[in-house]
Amino acid sequence: MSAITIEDELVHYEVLGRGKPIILIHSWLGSWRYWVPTMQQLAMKYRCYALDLWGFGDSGKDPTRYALDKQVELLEKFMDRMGIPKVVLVGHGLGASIAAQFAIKPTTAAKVHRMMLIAPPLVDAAPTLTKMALTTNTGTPAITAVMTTPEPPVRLTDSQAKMPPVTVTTLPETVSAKVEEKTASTVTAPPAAEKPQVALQPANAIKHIFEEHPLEELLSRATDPATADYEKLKAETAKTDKQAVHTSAEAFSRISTFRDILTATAPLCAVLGENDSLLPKPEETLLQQLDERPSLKLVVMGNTQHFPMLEDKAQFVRLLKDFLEAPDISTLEMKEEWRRRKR
Amino acid sequence: MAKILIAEDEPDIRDLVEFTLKYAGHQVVTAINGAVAVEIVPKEMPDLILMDVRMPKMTGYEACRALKGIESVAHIPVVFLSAKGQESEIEEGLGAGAYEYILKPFAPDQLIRRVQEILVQHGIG
Repeated sequence: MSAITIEDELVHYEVLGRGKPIILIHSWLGSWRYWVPTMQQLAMKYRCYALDLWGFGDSGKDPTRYALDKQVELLEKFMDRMGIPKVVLVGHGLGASIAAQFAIKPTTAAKVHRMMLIAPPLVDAAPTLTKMALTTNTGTPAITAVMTTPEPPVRLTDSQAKMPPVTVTTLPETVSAKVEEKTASTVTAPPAAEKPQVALQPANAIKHIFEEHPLEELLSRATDPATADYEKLKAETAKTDKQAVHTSAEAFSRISTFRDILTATAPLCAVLGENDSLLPKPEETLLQQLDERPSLKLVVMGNTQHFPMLEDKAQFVRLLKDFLEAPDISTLEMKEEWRRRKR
Repeated sequence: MAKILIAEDEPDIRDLVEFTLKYAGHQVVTAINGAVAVEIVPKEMPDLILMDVRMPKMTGYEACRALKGIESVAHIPVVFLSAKGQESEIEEGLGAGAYEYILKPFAPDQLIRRVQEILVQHGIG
């Protein structure tokens, strides 16, 4: 086991191979371990690092470090400690969001050579918050409301629809009702100094998914429980501090990995499992926007769920190697087996 | 889980085999050539030795013969790792006291499975 300490907390990682550096970042379910087959296949040409994020696997479990920006900082500090000036990031789920944030952060963006984002949460759920206080025509503060920009509906997959309900709403019902009720009367905005601070959360499909269901249940939906890899994932998921999952999921009220992808400038390959039943299926309009982004290849891997790197190891490694070796991402040849499919 | 010694001069392959076996839960000791293997096996007393055939200073065959001549370690099974196309070496290796051959390149999963089978055959693991 390899480990370093960052700010007096243990960070567990493993490394294999020699060559250009690649950092593999895990998702909400599991730890560094499910990258092992990928590391073994890349080791002859690349130096592959796989680390456990804060709260996962064998890394430190201090809840004050679980926020997404702290995980991004962990990645930055890890690279500094390993002496890696520029890297290929391969992120999965939560790891994809961390990689995308890293790739748009002004202090780190230039450190990303290119990145592959597997099963990134493509929910455009970071609405612009408009805080406004409504008062009655008597000047009495009556209600504090949070207006959000319209969000595209979050479409759930069939299997998500069958599970105990994951409620995805635009506004909490009670707040919506109050807004309707009060906006029906004459209202005036109060002076700026009186604007109250409100902290209502907008819809957050990712948060709902991870707060409503035990991790083990989510794992059984994310990949086939009949496989040998499932048992390994289950053992690693059991090490996770659930608070780390919940805290990171909360960030999706404020950030959008979809928008980060559009903002990032590093060459990028986004990989989706055709039958991913863990995350909300992205709207076709979002996928079209990704398709139009320069230096981006969007790939839907057939017959895979949330863990394409385990569910079709050979195809995944071929795709990753092609992506790593393409001199120019725009020239990456799309093979029939992983051609982008219209949903 | 077992203690396994890997004697392999090629660092990339040595690292990969070490990583693969450690991931499978085994304890791993490494040697960079046959001479080092002969030196450390009596101290480490591994359950199984995986050894490359072609190594500097002392080849796998020479190391295997030397180990079979040491009473305290003669019982430890030695498995040769040999490149495909060098099958003619198998007979010579088995003649030196090796238990089996595994041909390179091998898939990590295959290696783990074969190692597990050999350990079971020897009442280990």
